[in-house]
Amino acid sequence: MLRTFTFLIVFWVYSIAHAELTIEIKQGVASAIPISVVPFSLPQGGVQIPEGIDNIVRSDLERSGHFRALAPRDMLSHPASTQDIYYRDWRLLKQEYVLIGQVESRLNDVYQVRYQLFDVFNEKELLSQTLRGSAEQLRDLAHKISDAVYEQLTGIRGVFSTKIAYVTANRERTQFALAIADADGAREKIILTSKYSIFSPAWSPDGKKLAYVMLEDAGSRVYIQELATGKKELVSASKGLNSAPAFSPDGKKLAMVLSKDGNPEIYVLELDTKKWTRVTNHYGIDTEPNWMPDNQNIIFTSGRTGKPQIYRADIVTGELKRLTFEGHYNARGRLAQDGRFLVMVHQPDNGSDFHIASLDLTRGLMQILTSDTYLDESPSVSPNGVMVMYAAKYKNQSILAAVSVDGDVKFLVPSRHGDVREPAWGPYTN
Amino acid sequence: MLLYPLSDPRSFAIPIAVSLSILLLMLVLLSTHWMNTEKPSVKTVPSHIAARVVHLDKPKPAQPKPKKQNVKKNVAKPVEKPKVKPNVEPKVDTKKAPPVVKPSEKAAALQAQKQAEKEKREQEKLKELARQAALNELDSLLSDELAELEANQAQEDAKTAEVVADYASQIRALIERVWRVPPSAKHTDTLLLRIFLVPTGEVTEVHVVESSGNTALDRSAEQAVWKVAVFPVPKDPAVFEKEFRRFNLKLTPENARL
Repeated sequence: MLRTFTFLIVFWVYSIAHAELTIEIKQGVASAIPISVVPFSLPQGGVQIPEGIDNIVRSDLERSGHFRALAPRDMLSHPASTQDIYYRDWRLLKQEYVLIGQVESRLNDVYQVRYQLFDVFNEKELLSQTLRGSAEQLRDLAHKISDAVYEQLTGIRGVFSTKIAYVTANRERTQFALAIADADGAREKIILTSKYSIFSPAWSPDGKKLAYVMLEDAGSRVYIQELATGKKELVSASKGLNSAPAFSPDGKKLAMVLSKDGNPEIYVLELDTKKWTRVTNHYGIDTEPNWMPDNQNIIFTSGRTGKPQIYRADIVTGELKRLTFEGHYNARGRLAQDGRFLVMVHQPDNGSDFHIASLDLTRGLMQILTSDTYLDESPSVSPNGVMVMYAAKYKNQSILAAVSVDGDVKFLVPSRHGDVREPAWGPYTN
Repeated sequence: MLLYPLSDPRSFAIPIAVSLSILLLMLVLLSTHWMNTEKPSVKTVPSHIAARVVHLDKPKPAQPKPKKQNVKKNVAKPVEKPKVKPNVEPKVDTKKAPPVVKPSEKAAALQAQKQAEKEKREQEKLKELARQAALNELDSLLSDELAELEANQAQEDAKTAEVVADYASQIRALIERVWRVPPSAKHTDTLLLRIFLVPTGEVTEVHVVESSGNTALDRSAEQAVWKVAVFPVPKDPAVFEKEFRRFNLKLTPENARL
């Protein structure tokens, strides 16, 4: 009798307190997100842009490597408004997101672009925004749309509206230019031409100035130039080498390399007070400084062990730490993805190719990212820390190429020039 | 004039008349219990709870047992009760009898009655004893059966657990194949989804119970569930009801790069 009772009680308690079934999922796939960018509806009369806004958005997203865009001819319909979206159709096409938009013509050459992003499987609108701009600004609006879509779907801020700076040269290497362009290589604008070679362009954190090195007859000089006015200021012209300028993240200091003491050492210049501080003191070469986000630590390349390796120096405490140990040659370190990865030029063994590699500072894993190009140099990391732009030799030409920090995405940046080098990825502009 | 609205194509008269008659028809149908509404609720009772219902039924006759076991100490009571009834009945008989039965026959009748009563009492005593014996037997049978049932239950539970684990791993595999983890996800991120299914395995609802803090990651997980859309679920409705009508998914992108 007692047993019956206990049994019933136990059973009852069991069924009441019985925990809900929880299934643990520990793996996912990391493939490109399928998205459909539907051709935007255009106003009567058409818009004077060589490529449609949707085309720019589509190529922006595809180039990021995180998206796979469906070709408009493969779509079942080209909806322009919410009520024309049939989620079932998009599911059939295995699309996860749909972007639609309308371009309308307003007074005084102003265009209004409205776009909406839909989640096909959750069947809801994720984004809806109206932007305005002149005909020349339509490309900026397209990049803005790409940024918003990218951030919404990947959780990472987009860099399609950012600029890149780089140096071009003619075939004979008698004429040099400093240029800026959209991150996709479009809308190039020359901001300086010179018969002297130009090196190491570096962006100020507000994106309004560029520091660079010019190799003049009298020696190398470091300048800072305002982009809006073209006004340039000589910052350093000391005896010997003046090179590799780098703005601190707060924009108040400029780190660079001077060899006035006999061999290259890293110095920091306070831009307001013009006060110089020497950071390194070693008979080996110390060069290529780059700031860490804390405004206090500098990453640099040093030949103090005989071969170039990357170090970190604290400009306040003077503490020094070696970061790279693997490989024959590691230089020009840049931090990516919130300081988790160190991107650099890497040569595994003496005599092997120079490639761009990333070192996972948490796990200590070195990964070589590039393989199609050779003599890879000058890596520059996008402000969101996801992509690396670098210069390389490809089919006997100096070109710009980009690779994602995980090595999955690679693309070449088109250029009209014979030789393109020294890319510098600009900061966020908004 | 009265027919005029009917001939007017824009008139609402016909639709109104039609819908009213449909409503009436439905009212009539509903009031005549043409559909037994209790059935679905019976169906939803899981079968192994139904098995327990058998349990509950058997203990019910057993429950008075403790009373009877106590009664054994003062047996008089249950025996007295049957006494009262026959006493009353004969009385009614005697009252009805007088006009028909003669006094001489009265004595014989009384004696016969007494004997009948005696027999009745004895019979009842026997019956009571038999009943008690039967009850005792039932009790022992019951406890045997219970032990067996308990063993069966344990076996069944193990079987059920196996079935649940099997379907859970099928569900896991399906989700892992379609869960597109966004590049911002960290391998330590974790989120909890609650999923509601219908017995065909179709997803009806997905809720984020605990967010990872990364909306893109949360959305990717919800999408993964909708992408699967129909999950394999056990055919046994009891197991489905208990484990799969509502369950949780705990997602951690351990293979994420960050």
